[in-house]
Amino acid sequence: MTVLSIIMITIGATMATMQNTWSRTRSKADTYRSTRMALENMGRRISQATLGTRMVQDEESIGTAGIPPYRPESDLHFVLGPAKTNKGLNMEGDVCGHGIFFQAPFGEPGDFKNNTSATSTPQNSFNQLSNTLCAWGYFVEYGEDRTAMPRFIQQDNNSEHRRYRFRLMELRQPAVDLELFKVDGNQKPKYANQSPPKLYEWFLNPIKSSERPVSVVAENVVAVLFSPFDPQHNSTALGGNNSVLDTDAPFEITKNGLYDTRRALWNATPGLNNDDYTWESLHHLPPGIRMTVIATSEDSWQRLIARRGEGEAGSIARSLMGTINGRFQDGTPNSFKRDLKGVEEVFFKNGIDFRVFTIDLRMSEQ
Amino acid sequence: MSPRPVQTPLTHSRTGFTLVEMLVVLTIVISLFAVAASGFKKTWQSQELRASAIQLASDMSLASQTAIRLGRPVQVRFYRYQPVEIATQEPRFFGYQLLVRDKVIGLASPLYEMQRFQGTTVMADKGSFSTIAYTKPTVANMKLSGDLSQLDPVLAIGEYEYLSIEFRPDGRTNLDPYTSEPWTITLVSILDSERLADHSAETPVDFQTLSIEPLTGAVRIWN
Repeated sequence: MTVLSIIMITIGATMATMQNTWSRTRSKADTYRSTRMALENMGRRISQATLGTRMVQDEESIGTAGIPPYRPESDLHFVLGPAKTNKGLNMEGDVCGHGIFFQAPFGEPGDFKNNTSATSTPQNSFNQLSNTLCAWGYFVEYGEDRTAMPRFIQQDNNSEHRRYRFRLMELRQPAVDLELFKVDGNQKPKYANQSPPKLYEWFLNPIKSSERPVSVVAENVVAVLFSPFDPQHNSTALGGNNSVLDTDAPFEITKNGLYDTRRALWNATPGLNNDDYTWESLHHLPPGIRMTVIATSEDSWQRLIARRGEGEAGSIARSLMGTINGRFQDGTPNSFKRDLKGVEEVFFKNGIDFRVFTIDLRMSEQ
Repeated sequence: MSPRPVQTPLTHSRTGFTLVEMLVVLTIVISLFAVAASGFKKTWQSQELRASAIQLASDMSLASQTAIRLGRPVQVRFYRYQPVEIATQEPRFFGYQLLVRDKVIGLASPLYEMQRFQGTTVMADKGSFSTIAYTKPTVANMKLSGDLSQLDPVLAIGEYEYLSIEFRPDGRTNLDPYTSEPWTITLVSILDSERLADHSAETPVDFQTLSIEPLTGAVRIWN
């Protein structure tokens, strides 16, 4: 009887261990697969960003030696950089890493039912406009996601459904709601001659609103980091190698991690030396963007909660946010590697699984 | 001198069990097995639900990717029918199928044969749990079809209905992105499905809900 019991207990324990290992591996694979898909989807969207830049004659510079008689102009805006810092996008709430906001012809006309100026035209006719301009954006947020939660789960008071997680969010501003083209009280373009933080209100205000046009793209994405680069700019630094797009090329064409296609208009004293990209970025998209995504697995986060409790898991999440938001403000590879190492240490210290994905994008408008 | 102990019949060593002892042990063992079996059944059903949800999410991602790759809309059809082997009061959504739709002539041809949800798993057909069941003609196109050439042999035995979601080549779906509720598909056991009433305050005992993002076709699992 004793021997039989020991055998039974051993078999039971082995099976439990096997099942745990199997479900853990499956959960990890599921999480990282959805992260990879989100990354591809995000990359596809970002590479379609447009500025519709045109060259206009600059009356003031005609005849002035050394200054070209034409200057770029655009009504659109592309900006990426640290989400939380004052010198970055200065976003509110528990945001982590970098954010990116732009316009692209995604053909999403929007909900005309709430737009009085368009009530006479049927919704279907707007839906035929497959290239309408939209504003889009991505950022990472930590918190509870109740907007996407199915209604019957929301009504259930079971706290198991309340999940505080890092999530990759997508801002969608369809054509009918394009904030960038709005006018002020004097019927002048609201954002034409503005500097941050006012300039960034075209995406900050909708994100802050109660019914925000934001949805989750992937869960358990802890941070997304954007490093714009210009192979031609890098080639000067590397001795004229124009084919440079390699992983170790210095791609610092940002200032404090911020790439803003209107920086030259609001930055009072832009630098004029070769290393400064301010003028080159005026109404021009970066030729390439390296996207780095730091993701964890749902299973790992659940184990952290089971081990340390919901409260302490929240503290660890805030510690991660603090570590990430205090770094990644210098786009050079060495500092990037150093910053990433610092973040990895927080993951290791708390026994959280994580993975880092990297993808290089070429902007299609370039 | 101490007296020698006297052996009495009561102190004889016994070599067997009495019938009562055997019965007690058997009762305990049977009770333990019964408890374990009931727990195992629940775990097994829960695993079936989870596996069905993961498979469906994976197939919906496949539908989205195929639509982008082929440049043609891909439908995911959820079939409601009454299988012969399961006695239910009314037809249920037991499975789904991926079909590629021709943009010009509008006919759909199956990518694979119909996938049955595992075990006793079905899609909850009440709108408050599976919002795709709301009968908005542009969204959930529920109708009777006599087009048997597109069917799995399982369905060809009788009448059936289907709800469909279409993934388009631009990455979007045919679902209305401006509804107040997220688009959901909830998988439950068939017993739960028969018990749940629409707009009831009750939640299923065990469920897996997939929410679908209309503009990107992204699928998330809630439980």
